[in-house]
Amino acid sequence: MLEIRALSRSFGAVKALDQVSFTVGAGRLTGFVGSNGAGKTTAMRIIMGVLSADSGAVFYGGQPVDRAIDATFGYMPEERGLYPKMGVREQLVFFAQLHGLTRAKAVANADGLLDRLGLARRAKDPVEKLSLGNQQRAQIAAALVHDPAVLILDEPFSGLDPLAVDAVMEVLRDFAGRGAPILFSSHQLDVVERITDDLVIIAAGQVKAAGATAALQARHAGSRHRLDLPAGADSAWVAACPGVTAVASPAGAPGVGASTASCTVLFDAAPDAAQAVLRQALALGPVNRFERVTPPLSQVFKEVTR
Amino acid sequence: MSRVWLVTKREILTQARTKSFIISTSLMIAAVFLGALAPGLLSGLGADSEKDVKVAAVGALAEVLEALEGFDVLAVDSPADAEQAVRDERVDAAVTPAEDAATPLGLEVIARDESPARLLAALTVSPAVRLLDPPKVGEFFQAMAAMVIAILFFMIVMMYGQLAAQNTVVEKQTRVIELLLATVPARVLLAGKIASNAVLAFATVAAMSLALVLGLALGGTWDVLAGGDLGLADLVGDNLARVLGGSLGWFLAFFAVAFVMFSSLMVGCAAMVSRLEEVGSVLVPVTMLIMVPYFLVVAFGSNAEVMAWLSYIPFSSPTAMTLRLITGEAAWWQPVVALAILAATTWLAIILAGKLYENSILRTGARVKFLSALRDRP
Repeated sequence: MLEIRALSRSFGAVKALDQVSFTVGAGRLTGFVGSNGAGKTTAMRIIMGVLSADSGAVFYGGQPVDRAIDATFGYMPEERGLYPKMGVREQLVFFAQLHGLTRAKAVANADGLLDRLGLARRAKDPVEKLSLGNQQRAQIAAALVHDPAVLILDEPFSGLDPLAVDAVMEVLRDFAGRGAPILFSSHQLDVVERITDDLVIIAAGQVKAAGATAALQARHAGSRHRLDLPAGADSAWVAACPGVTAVASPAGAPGVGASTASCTVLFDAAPDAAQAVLRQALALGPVNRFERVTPPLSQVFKEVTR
Repeated sequence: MSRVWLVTKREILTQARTKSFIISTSLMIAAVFLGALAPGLLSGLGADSEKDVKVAAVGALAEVLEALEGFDVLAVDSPADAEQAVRDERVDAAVTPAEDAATPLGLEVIARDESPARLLAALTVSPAVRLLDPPKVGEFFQAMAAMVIAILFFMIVMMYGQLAAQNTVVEKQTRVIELLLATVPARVLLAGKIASNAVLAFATVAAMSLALVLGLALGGTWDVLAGGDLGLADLVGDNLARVLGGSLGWFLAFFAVAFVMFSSLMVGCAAMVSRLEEVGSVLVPVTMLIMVPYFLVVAFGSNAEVMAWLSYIPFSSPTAMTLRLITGEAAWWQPVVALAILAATTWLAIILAGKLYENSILRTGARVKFLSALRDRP
């Protein structure tokens, strides 16, 4: 487990981090979201030992993180960069060795990753000859090549096409499966929503919310409910129920596609009133689905950072 | 340590594979080789002058000339015959008893269109000369050595220092630096950079020295320097090899330490800028530290007092002290003291460079101010 305890850091008059604390659990894919300038990169740089903190500390497995422990972490900086004129494979082997791997192990890891990330054919090419997407994959490979104990990835999905996003997610899940804590920042909240176990939301240098993604979403669920009735069923009565304040058009609601197999109603109501609607619906006929609507992460984010 | 070596190795391999580096280094080595070869070859072209001079002589004079080296003597019966032999181009010159008795030697030399220098030299008498304080090394040789050593030092330090500075900025510009810093401490990167640069520079110096010796040997100039027939051996003293050998060892020691000092400072300064275009301007202070002593040494090479001062100042001691050793002006303990001063300064320079490097290497964008680079940690 990676623990960040009360990190503070100022640059001149700007307070980039203010008592930032959160944890990244073993095997947990933890999303780190915040707007530009919120302090994500500063926090990640401090975790990696690239920047120093004014106060606070980072712990891994209960130990304060020093250079030796940091060397076992894998890092993908926000500012992408590899040696442009050096071959991809040669470069990966160099970084793996710099992390303390033997040459044989470094070569084996590099080849394995190049294969998995679809770069095997470009292994000998200098990085500058690769397309931007492939450079990005090489950058991810550089973060993973030494079998890191912890992964810190700053915007790992930016600039990737959907296929590459899937390939990278696959690799990350694999790492998480081995028990590595993974912290990654992203602006792509839909991607974050899809893969994160936990979430840390930061704004203006302060942690605004942290915890399991699903729990955060549940906490921010509003009064909106969803009721799916069999196709062709009458749903006009819902609006007339006591306590129901708004009935939304189902078009465009999440999970409601062109499917005509069911008739979907979205309405706002207090929990008791919503249960009353459900009881009435059951009295009238079958109910395919009833739920309190989970807000999209973008909505949670807006509410938390407001 | 092994991480420093990894960084060093990567830098060396990358640099050695660069086309511009291969070409410029080969050109430099070739230039040294040809420069060393040329004098020997060129003097070989004029080897005709070494042929025996054909001289006609009358009577007893013929016997005197026969006894001398380098003359092909044709004995003739009379001065008129001798003159005729010159006119017929059977001989280059003739020696006859002087018609005018007032001539000091009582001899007359006849030639066609040019006075025969070697013949005249053979017939000239010089008084014995005794120098009370003979110079150990000829002044010409001193001046040459000053120039060559100062230029060599200046060139190598500038060339490789700038190369290391550029590579520093390239790592910053390509952003690979952040990944590197997340992997190893800044001082490991700095040490690897300076070490690789030193290895490349020393390898080049070694290759150039080899090219120099080979060129001199193949061109035949080596024999001359080592005591051949041009009389340079007398000029230089018979201990050329010893003098050069001793001071060369010192020069290499001074060179190695000073090189580390200058290249550390250059890398430290380069870390303050983010674009290659800015490297030149940020290096100006260090360049001055290299150039000013260079000009001082060249300008005051023959002023013993100034040179004595310069030989202790760490920025000029590598050249100044080496020269004083070659000319035999320095006592045995003087280079030891100068080297100690240089080493201490180098140590301070490394600390300074480490601070500048660690504090500025991550700060991209505008040039980092010197004081801020000293003070503000990353």
